[in-house]
Amino acid sequence: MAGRASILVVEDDPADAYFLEQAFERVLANCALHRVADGLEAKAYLQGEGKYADRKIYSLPSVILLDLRMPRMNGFEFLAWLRTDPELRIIPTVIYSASDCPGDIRRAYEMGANSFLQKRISMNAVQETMRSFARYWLEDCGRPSMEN
Amino acid sequence: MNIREKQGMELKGTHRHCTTLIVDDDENDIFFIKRAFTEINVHCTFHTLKNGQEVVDYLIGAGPYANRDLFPMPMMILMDLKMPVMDGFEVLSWLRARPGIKVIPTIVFSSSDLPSDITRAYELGANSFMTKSVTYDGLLLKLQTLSRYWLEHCKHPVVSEADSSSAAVA
Repeated sequence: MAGRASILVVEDDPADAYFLEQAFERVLANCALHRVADGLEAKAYLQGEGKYADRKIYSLPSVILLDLRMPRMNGFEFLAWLRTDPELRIIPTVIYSASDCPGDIRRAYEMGANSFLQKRISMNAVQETMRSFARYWLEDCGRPSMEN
Repeated sequence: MNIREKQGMELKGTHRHCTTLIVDDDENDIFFIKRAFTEINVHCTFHTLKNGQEVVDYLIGAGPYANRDLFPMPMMILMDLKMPVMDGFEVLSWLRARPGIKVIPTIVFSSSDLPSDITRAYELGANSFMTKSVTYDGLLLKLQTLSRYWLEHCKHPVVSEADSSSAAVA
């Protein structure tokens, strides 16, 4: 994917989303941030449905930050769908969940999550995690190319 | 990079009970990767392997690797692409088809920056892809970012000897 980096945050909890947005504001430069509230909306975003058809505004993400416990379509269900889509399946997807249950962690990796981060409580800790996340995925990692 | 900057790079936690496989056919690269990890104070046990077949043997516990006290299941694999006998792409295909061990985070660390190589690695299930730096300082920086992210922030799946046994018969 050429062009400006972009992160898609899939998070239903407004407080968690707020913390993430604040953290990213401090650690990101020249990266677009988009948030959707659950797996179904994330699917619509990636498939370019409705308003998401405008790729100039809603660009395909360089990396997805994905909560697990969400209504309508949770993180596992979303991953299951994502990894079957021939074009979208290569988008790096990182779980961001309050869970540290080994079963959840293992299941996420089994279903194709690229990595798993545990939600942090304090703003400082969230910032530290997201700084590391952004440095790793947006600056240092190579990005897969997609047709779109 | 001066000494103060280098000291600032040291990782906070120690990572005992952390085994990482470094897979690369180039002895120089292996030397510098291990040296870089030492400089940034990563206290993992590193096992170096020189091609994809050795990774398979290690993970299924073939030959000397049956001794899991000496060769524990890794929490992470750092792997080159272009290697003789069995290359990184073939390892990824093999690994992701194996129940149990398929979950081991596997990061491609290659001199290639070709979009086709990067895309193919992700398609075959690499957790991520990093292009090797040509300078030692560049290598230090990249491995620092990688170590901070994977060892201080990420949660890892638990991989057991039972997973190794399933892989051996799969």
